[in-house]
Amino acid sequence: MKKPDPNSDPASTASVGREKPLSLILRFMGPYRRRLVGVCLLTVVLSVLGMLPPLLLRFLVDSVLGEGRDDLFTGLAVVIILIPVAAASCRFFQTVGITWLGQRFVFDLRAALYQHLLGLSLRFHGKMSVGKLINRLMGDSGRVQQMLTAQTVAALSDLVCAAFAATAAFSISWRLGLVLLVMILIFLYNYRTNIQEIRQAGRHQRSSMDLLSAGVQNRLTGSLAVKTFGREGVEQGRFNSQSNDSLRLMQQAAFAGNRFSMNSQLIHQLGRTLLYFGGCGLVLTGRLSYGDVIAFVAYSMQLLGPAVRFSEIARQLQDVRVSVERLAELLAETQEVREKPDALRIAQLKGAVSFEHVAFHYDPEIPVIRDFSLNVVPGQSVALIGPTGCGKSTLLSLLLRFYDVTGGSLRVDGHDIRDLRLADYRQNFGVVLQEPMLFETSLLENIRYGCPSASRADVEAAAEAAELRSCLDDLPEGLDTVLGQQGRDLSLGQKQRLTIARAILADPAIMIMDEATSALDTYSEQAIQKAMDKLLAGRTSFVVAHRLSTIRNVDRIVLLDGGRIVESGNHDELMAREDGRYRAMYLAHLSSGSMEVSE
Amino acid sequence: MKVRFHHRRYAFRPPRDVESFSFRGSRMLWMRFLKQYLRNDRKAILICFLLTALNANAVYLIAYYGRVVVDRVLMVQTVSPKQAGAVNVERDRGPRSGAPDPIISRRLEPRGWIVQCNPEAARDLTILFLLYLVTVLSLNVLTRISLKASIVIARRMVASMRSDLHKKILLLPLAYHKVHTPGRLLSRITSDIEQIQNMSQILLRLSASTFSMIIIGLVIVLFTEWRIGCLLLAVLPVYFVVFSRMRPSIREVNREMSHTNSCLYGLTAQKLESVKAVQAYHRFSGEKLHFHRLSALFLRDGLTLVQLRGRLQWTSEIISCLSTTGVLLGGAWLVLKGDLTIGRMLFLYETTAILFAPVMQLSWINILVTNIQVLLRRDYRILDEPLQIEDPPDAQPMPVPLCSGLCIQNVSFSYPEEERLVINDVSLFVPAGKWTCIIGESGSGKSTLLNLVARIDEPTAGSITYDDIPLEKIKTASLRSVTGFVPQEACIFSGTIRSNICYGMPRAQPAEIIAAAQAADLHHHIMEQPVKYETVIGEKGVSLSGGQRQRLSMARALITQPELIFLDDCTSALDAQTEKRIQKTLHHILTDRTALIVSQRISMAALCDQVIVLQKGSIVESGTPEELRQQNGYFADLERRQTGA
Repeated sequence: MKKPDPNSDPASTASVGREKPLSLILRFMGPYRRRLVGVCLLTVVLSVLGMLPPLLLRFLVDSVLGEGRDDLFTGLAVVIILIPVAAASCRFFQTVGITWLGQRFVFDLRAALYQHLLGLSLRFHGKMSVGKLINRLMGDSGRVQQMLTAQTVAALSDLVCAAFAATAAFSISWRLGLVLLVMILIFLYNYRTNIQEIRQAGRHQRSSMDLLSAGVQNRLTGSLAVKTFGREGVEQGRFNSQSNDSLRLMQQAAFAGNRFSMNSQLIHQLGRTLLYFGGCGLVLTGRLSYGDVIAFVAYSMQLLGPAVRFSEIARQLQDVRVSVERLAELLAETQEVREKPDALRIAQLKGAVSFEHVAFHYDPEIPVIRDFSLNVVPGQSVALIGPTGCGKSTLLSLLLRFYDVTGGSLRVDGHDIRDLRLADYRQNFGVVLQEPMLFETSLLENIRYGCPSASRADVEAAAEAAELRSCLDDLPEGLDTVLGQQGRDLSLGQKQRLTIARAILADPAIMIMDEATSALDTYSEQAIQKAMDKLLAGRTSFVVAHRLSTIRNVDRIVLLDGGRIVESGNHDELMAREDGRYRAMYLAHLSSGSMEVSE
Repeated sequence: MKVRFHHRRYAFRPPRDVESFSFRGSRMLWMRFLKQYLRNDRKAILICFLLTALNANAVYLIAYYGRVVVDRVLMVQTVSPKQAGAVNVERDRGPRSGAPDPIISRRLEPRGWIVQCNPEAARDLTILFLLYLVTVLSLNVLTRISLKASIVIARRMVASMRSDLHKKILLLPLAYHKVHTPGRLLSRITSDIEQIQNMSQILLRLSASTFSMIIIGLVIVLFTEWRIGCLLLAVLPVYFVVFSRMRPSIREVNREMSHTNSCLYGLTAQKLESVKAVQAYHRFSGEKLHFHRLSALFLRDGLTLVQLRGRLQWTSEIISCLSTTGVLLGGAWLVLKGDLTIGRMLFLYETTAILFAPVMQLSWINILVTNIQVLLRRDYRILDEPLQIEDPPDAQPMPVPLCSGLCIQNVSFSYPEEERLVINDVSLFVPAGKWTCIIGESGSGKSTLLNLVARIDEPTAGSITYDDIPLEKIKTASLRSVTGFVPQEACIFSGTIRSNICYGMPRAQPAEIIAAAQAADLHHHIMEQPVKYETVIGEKGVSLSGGQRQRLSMARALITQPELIFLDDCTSALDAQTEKRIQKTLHHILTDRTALIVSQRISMAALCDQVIVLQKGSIVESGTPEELRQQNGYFADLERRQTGA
């Protein structure tokens, strides 16, 4: 029984050379600097335009109406009409501009990150779950985009508006200005004291919802057990009590939220009342005009929103910072294998593989492969067997150049593989793994995956060779059937045959099979055997398998332990050894009645 | 403005399902929803509605106070140009004519407009101030009450909806659960209902405020100055026309974008899962292309969307600001002519400005209604799913102990919406007290047959009887209590080992638990753990190997000491030695009990009294193991292959 390891997240370790959050954003925003500046200017203009109406109204009421200056009327009318029109147009361009920026930014960022992720080592992918990667690729990048489009513009606009409004308000009446100041302070105080409570309540609610969801997920995954034991009633009861708990917390959170917003509204309205009537009182004493009062009240209302938003900014920036840091972490991960700048281009390889004193380790203290030497001629089949952890799959990874050897060298057709162009080198390999790696696209495209330029006729021939005829006949659309929809598609055996067809089509010089039939039942495995034999005929192949029945006929069986070769030879040679380990393994499983090597 | 969608069929982006609503269908949906979940709270909902409307319309009242202040208290008046000159002279002279009360004229610095105050100005102002305060305070209190009430109503609604959905989902047959993943069902229960709740609350508030504000606003304007009122009545329809023309395109683009987004998630998930294949076949540029295509489509649609929205926004802003400034300027002109007081003018202006905000919000109401409808539809689809497995009123308890046996007659089964027969006209007799084994390749229908017999799925044709009592007439609860079922995929519930083993029998005694664990060859493993039976397993706990999970599953079934036991390939993850041990124990415990065992291992089949070979849903061979060996068919072949002979 394995304990879960909380420290197994590689992203939690600091990686060297990680970019600072700001420089990451600037790097991706760089190409679009000019537009960004343009949008910022538009925002400033827009904010100023938005601040003008109260002044215009004041002018209207005081000067034009109050003093009867109807000569000014036409001029003012034109201005009053033009300004909102100009503002609306500015807003259109600003919105389009900032959205364009955000979209381009996130497009570039996601493309770069995705490419990068696909090229990272298998060890990285083994440690970092796909769900987490997707969260970062799609979720975090979306959050950064949101900040750039919505928050930056809003912050800038708030700044300009607040500055303008404050200046205007205080210049109209410093007495009322003081009252306004007190009101804002009370407002902010109310906000600060309540927000903690609200956040806390929200956190409690969210965690109770997490519990509820986990419970439901668990229950639904185990719905078979729930049914067979007739426990629907009990489970329903459990659900109801969890649901009630979460709803109680929801209610608490909602009440807290309402209290806060009602208090804010009260302060807001009382403040406004005070300012308005105070202003009118000042009108009576002759210190202000009525136009002044309306303008002042209008500006004071414009200050409350920004005041609250400013106090939120630090927290919002922190959230975004976390997202950016996560993205930077991923981008800082280095690829394991680098192509040399002067790499050789090669076409078809013949398939002569030679391991020369190959050594490999992931961690310098734990060698995985020690001094492995093997010479394989073209067309020879080699089986790698041994206990778990002896390095069989690692050898295959080295052969595919997913990692570079740390000692010795690996040669194919006489070339050290590190000298070859990666794309060309990998073209010469076909891979069938325990898990069929198929995609939600048509069968045709799936088979073509290794050889995108193949014709339909070629694909059909490959499918035929992989014994897929009966499967294709059952499907109404044949090769054009799209996989993966509704979750009920081909059986595992059929999927493996598809991967074999893919490999047949690619016609590689070297075949790699890593536990290709381990997940299949005996009957399916038998059905595949014919296809597999066709695939391996005449090609160099490396097979890792647990079922000894499948490797009886290979040219060479290599038994590994602790990263070294223990025994090597074909089946008859190894069986001839009286005290050979292979012989012992083979005999033991012959008698147990199940032809599997269980570790 | 029509949006033309260019070619957007790309790999990894299947076309979007276009849903359409009939108006009648959606009205029925709403009626159903309201009746089922909100019926009991109708009075409270009405009160909330009214209070919200009241609160929203209070702004008009406040604007009216402003008018009174300007016209009566402060008595701000305009001065015509002709009088302007005269006023300068008259300023210090004395009262102006036309005022209702004795007046005192004041000169104000620096602008020379007249404020004529009545001597009670200060008193009137104070009275108005207090009225204003009272209005504000009482409205605040009333709104608090209505908000609280709406939360309580929402809570009740969510509680019942969740409970109903969850209950229904648990009762639906296994075939349904196979098609609808737990994740998706979970989102129906939690996320969908949460969204319905949030949106309904907003809908209530919005509809209460917007409709009332628009109507009352129009009425006020019409009464105050009917000419301006008529102008507004002419403008508002234009607004709606523009809006209804642009909305459909916006909605289409939005849906396309959200579909592309979910395809992007799907694409990246698939490729990152199979990154080995991507690297082995070195398909980086191909993958880049796929991603780019979808991502670029998303970007293009995003720009189209912002253009459309921007245009709509611009148009509505222009309409509203032109209308309000029109009112302002028109009113100002009337004031200069002397037909309108300043107070009235400002009142009209404010009212019009207040009026346009809800007009723009009407669009939101439309969106909310549609969105809630989509969600309701999805949830009602689940609630309306027919429950196949229900006890009829004359249901009998399970006949225990079984006398003759289990009879399967001409049974066929296919998944809903599929034509392929998974089980094809199978007839079989399982004698009581004997072991029957079903073997066959994967996909032959073995597990499905077991599910039918255990009444987890319903056959689409044929009948199953226990001691001549049809399965439909047997009480499900009674059936469950005497059968033990060990599935292929063991499900572990979050909890302790003990709670997992006792799942079917919560009040099991420790001796019984240990006996079951020993029978499943699990006891010594458990004793090796520091906390033994209290070890926490499941998501947050220790993870078990495949073999251990299967054995736990078996212990779970065995603890209830069932009369009838169904085993579905329960030794596949075990090695040969452990399997032999378990077979021995099972043999010991289950002699004289009826067992139906599905397996791929010859070793298991050889122990049974009767063996059935299933191929593509039909029986091809049946008989005792010895008979089948003689027949030299699939069974004999399998035996040869598996024993390596």
